[in-house]
Amino acid sequence: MNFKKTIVALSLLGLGSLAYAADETLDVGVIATISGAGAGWGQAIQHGVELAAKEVNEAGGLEVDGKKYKINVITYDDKYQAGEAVTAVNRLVHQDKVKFIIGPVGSAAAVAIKPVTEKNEVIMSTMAFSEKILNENSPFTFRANVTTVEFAQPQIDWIVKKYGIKKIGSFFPNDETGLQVSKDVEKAYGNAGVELVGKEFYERDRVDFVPMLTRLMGLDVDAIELNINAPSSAGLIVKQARDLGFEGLFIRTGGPSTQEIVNVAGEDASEGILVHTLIDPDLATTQAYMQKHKENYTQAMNGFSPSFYDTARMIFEAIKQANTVDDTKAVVAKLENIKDFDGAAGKISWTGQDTYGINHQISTPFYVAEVVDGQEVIRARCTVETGCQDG
Amino acid sequence: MKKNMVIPAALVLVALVYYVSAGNVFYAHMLIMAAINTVLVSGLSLVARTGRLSFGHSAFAAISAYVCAILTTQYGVSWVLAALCGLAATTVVAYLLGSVIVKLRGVYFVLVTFAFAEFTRLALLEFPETTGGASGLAEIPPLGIGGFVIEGVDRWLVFSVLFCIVLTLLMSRFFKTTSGKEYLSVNDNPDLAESSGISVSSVQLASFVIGGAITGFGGILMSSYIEFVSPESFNLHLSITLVTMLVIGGVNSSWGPLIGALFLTPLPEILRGAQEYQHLFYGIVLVLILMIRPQGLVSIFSGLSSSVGALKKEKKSA
Amino acid sequence: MFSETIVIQAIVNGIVIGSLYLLMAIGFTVVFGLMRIVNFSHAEFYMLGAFICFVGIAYFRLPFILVVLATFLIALAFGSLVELSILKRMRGDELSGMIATIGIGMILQSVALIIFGPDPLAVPSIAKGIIRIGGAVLPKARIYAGVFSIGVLVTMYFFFHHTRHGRALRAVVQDREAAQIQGINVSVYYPIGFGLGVGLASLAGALMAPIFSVYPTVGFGPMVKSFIVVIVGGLGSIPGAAIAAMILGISESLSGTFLKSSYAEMFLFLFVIGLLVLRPQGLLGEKS
Repeated sequence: MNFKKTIVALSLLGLGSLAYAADETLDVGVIATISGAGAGWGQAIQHGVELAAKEVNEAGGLEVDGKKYKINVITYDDKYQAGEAVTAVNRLVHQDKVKFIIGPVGSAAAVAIKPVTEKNEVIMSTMAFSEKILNENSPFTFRANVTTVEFAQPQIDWIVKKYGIKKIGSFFPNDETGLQVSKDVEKAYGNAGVELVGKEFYERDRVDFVPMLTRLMGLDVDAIELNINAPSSAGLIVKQARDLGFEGLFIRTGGPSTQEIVNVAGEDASEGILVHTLIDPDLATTQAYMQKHKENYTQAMNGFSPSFYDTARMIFEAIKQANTVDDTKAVVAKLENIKDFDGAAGKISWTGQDTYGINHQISTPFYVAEVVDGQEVIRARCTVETGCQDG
Repeated sequence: MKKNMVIPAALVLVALVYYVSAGNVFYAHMLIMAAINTVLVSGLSLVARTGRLSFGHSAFAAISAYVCAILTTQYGVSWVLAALCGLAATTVVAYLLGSVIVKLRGVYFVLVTFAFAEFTRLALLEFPETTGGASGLAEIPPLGIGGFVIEGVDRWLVFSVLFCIVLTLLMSRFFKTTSGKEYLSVNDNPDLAESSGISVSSVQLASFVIGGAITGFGGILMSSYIEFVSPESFNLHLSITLVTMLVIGGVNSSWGPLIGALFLTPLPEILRGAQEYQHLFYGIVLVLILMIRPQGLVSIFSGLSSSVGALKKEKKSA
Repeated sequence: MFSETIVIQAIVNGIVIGSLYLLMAIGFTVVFGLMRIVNFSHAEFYMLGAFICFVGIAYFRLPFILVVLATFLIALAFGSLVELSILKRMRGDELSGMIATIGIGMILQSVALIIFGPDPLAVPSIAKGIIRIGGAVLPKARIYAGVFSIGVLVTMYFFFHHTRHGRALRAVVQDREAAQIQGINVSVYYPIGFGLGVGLASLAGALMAPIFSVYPTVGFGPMVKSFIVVIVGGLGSIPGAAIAAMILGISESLSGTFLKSSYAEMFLFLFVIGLLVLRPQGLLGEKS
């Protein structure tokens, strides 16, 4: 009996070690905000990439040119500061000799590190919302998630029609991002036939929104657009508005951060907010991913996480198809050609030629949800190409 | 003379050991950042040793760095010329600000420099066409003197370490001269100094301007190395970090800035990802140093403790 | 747009915010007047108060007034302890004392970050709904906070003017040398003074926690504003601080409602620098 057990044990060990019998290591870099404000989004990137890497490794490694590669994820925290991101990218590119970087979260960071990644022909797949990221002169840069450019108009069109909004007000941070967003928001609502009657610019560290809310409410707005304001500011606006007796609608046409807003504003005040979300918890692939995330991490999954799991998997697939870990030009060519990829959030493809001049923008399904009891409930289903439909 | 050679020799040895044994870009990067921080803190130290604590030095670093960066990125000016302009700008601002505030009482001086630092940061944010606003300025050209470019970790290591050691030696030498001793006397006993013919306010103004320029150069070095700059690179957090390094290193010694920078700079990397623990550590060490060894870590190296202890006792009874 | 109701709302809001600044400023000026230290940890004591309030209401479900009172007492005790254990060695050395407060602040903030994380947390509302006076709309929660603040300020006034220890402390804060000459044993008041000063900051944090959210860096803004109030009003002068606090609170509120100046904060700092240079003693402060 003991002899048999030993054989079984040894063979299991053998099989187990076969799983890690990769010949080589492929280093993949992650630059994201892991600590401090914005950590939720940074962790979405980190966890997504780590889960994709783990999946490949457990299947024996990534097969490239006859060799099996174990994927090693090297993560650096940029603390949401462009300067830190630059330090990180220099380390990844020159010291760790990495050719694939996923992240960063922030636009300032992405714009700051892009010169380094492009010059060194390093593939970068980022979350950053800025319009300066993608263009024909940045052949190695990709975006892993949809941005306001893609989802704002469809969402706004649908909401305006459904809820009969005529006048809207909004808040913007007092910097050039805020100024740009204010123009975008005004245009998007204008296209839907709604006037942006109130534009409130506030200093980033302001916590008292009552004077501005008083002014907006004096203009009789039907709804307040929270756009891309930081979740803490958005939450305070919601809370203070409700304290003032505002009974209109709140709309957030911005990145997923519902939990943070509910944390700040409280469940009661948050009831009924309309948000943009990337997650349909009823989709089988999404459920599978959420389950996997739960098994591996204690933190709640952020809405961006499936996008980064998918982008990592797409890059691995492209490497495999191109049969090289070094020739990033070849990998880019294969990556660009991937269509209808089976993503955790549904079928995804590249788009963006018309908007950016290059098809490096991912197109994923997205949704308009209503916050009920602190949770998102889907009210409309959308794609970049077809807009939003009731659902 | 011999005693003073021990410290620099030891430090150069440490630096070489790090670099050679690790052959490692990571350690080199740490040393470079420590060297740049030494320059930044040295400017602060100069002012502190005449009895003034400035929380505005981050602003001086910012002004020099931004002027230099704007000239090189937007106007194609050569690095040397741009750096000189940056230093000139800071010198002028430091002179204007200093001449107005130098006569203020200690606490007011602190608060004004604090307000000035915040003002500068806000000003940098408000004019994005020139300064890049919150996004900052990227792709800053590297340090270039004549045709020789300092880029990449190897060259930066040699340059920055040499520069900060030379600077420290110069400062140490300076404080042994008559002028240097005048500076120190202004801190020990301003009334006595004044009555012996030294103009306290002139000395403090001079140290404020020169110290500002030194820190300004540190700012230029930082922006040339990282090749990126933003208002957040020079916020109050930096001012507080510099003061922390100064005090922990040793506020009354020329070697204080170097020791403080060397000790505190690698911490963010060693505690990578645990930023909260890094600050906890900073805070605890700072408080402990102030309670137990107020003359700073440098007292461990040389026999300054007795003389500084006497200075502190003198101050208490004043 | 210039209707009276909106103006009334802005002014009332300004008074509430002003009373917050005043609480912080008094605390700051007590510490400075007594110990000559610029207390850079003032922000973190505000934060401490905010978090105690959060824990008290969200976890222990205690009534608001009780939590606020508890916050003050806890901060008073903790502050006295800090003074006795850490700052005592640096009595007389302003520079070291000031830097020590930087260290203390760093420690407090890091601990808060480790325990609670960086994201803002909401304290459940202490009062829902609004009060209508004429056409003006005033959130109940803010009115309560304002009323409590004024209550605290009245109590402080009583303490400083009608109790023996309060009068002694006030004398020391306003003019230390004169107080010493009059026979007041200044060093006895150090721990209590520091505790009281930071206790007021914590109180402000607790009062405002239900209105703004709670997070580790929440105290920085109020601290900077309290610096400004104290500078404008005059270091060491409590009436000066009161006037300055109200002016600052109301003008902030009015300009936030009616003006769209993006340079407001910048000019505020420029104004403060100018004031410090031209009239360092502020409105009613001691001569330098």
